[in-house]
Amino acid sequence: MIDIDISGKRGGFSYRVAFRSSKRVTGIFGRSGAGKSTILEAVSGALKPEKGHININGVCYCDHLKGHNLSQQKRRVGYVFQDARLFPHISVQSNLTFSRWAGRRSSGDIAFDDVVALLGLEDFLERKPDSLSGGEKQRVSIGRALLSNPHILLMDEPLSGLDYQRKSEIMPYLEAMIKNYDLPVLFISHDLNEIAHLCSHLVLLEKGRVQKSDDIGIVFPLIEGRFAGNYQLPSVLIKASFQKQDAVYSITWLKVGTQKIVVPDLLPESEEDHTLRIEADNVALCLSKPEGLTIQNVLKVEVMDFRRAGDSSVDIVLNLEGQCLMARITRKAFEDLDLKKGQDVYSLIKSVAVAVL
Amino acid sequence: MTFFSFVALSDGEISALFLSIKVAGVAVLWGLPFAYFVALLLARGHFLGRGFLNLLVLMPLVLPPVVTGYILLIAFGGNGFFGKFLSENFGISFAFHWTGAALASGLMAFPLMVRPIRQVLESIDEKLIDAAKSLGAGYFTTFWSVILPLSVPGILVASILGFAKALGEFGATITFVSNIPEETRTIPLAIFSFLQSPNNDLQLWRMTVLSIFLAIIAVFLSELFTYRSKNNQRKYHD
Repeated sequence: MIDIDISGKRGGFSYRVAFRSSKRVTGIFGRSGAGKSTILEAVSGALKPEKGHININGVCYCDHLKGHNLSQQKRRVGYVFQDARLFPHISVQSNLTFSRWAGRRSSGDIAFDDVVALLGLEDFLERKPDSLSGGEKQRVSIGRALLSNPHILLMDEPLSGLDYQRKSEIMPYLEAMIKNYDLPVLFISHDLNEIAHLCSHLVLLEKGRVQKSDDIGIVFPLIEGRFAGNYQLPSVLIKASFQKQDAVYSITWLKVGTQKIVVPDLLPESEEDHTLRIEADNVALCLSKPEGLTIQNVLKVEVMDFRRAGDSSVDIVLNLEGQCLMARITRKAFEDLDLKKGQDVYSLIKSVAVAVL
Repeated sequence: MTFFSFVALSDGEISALFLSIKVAGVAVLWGLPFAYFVALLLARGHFLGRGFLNLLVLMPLVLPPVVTGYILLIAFGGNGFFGKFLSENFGISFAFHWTGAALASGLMAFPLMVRPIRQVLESIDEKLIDAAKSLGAGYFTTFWSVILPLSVPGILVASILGFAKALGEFGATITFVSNIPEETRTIPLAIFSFLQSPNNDLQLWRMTVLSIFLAIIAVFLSELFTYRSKNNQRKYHD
């Protein structure tokens, strides 16, 4: 359980951040300068907030009312930085065990060999960090943080310094780590796919204030605007279970509630739900069930709500068997169709526009 | 006259050479820990009087060496405050003794030793220290495990530069401990003595060439280590 309520000033920037999360991985998303790193620094103890408190799994890190402030090295925080920050003068092995020989921490339940195997570090234990690639460095840095036997992992854009190839190389390691170790994680990223992939709770941050903090399925569709140079249209995350592969056409059938959705990819059979990301402008609506379409996915939904989006568009919030779907249509089409709350309609989603995370 | 007898050093010259090496070696060994501590204060400390300390450290570089020697004479001479204290309590005397030559040359070399250490300490990424703290290392452990090993290149450069400077120290040494053969007559003082009397051209040339040779080795080594440490840092920051 993460319970943060802090406020203060830093240079000319004032922040007041309060949220709670009991989920495994809590994402923090916002523009640069929104105060994302400030939160992590406050949790790690590098920054002392003027007011408020931080409680992690029942341990009070700081509370200005009680005059309590745990020192940086006593907080059991595993910090993974954007730049791996490995110690250049010692081997990978000594880097991994730094918290034991320098920090006098026991590694607790986290065994050295397990971490090395999990992150695939066997081959470069004897090497110096300088000789590793960016992705390998970051894996070592994650291992080093894990082996400090932390009570919480803080990840400050751990993948943003890497190119696409390296990111997708590390992603499985991150997932395996999250799956294997029961640790709360605070995860900062600019990349919505990373967030959608790893996080189950999302904190939306703007100008040092929390805009929204809730389950990722609820917060994710609220993200719209210019982030890291790209304009982001609203998109939703849908959980879907595996149904069957069709190797002939190289597609996979998934199930959302009682309805079927097809994605252009051969996904492995798995017990766990897949997460689909669908942007609102790739969803069209139809009042009756259409026939003779190239669009494969026709799903029955219920109109929940509408939101104006600029002068010419409207976002329609739809209920897809308990999950949220969103369609961005023109205001003209909205008025022509005369949509009402509670009305049943058919949503059309192009299969190629469905991103499987 | 054979070539051998032409380049062979006389007893006085050999004694000057070994005395110089002893004096400079002791000056560097004793000076380094102090230089490291001062460099640490200047590079990473935040305290009142930091500017004053910096000025004090630079003083031997800009003061006339004869003034530094005179100050040493007043403070560490037989009747000086520190001189009396040290000889009465620890049996260490500096006046007209080779240890005084080591003190004088160590003091003159001090600013040259502080500078490279300070530079390497300032170049250590603060973020690495944050990382060490987040892994549970306290102030002293961070020092031993991260700061000290990363400052080794600076310490090497400081030793070489300090040694070379101490070898060549003249003004403060002759003022403080005079020019006593086999006690305080180092290479520069020997050259000075040869200059004072006629018909010593051969010895003068030999000592001059020896000095140039030692200086070139020192500068070469210090450049080598500086280059290496810069290279390492570049690799790290990539």
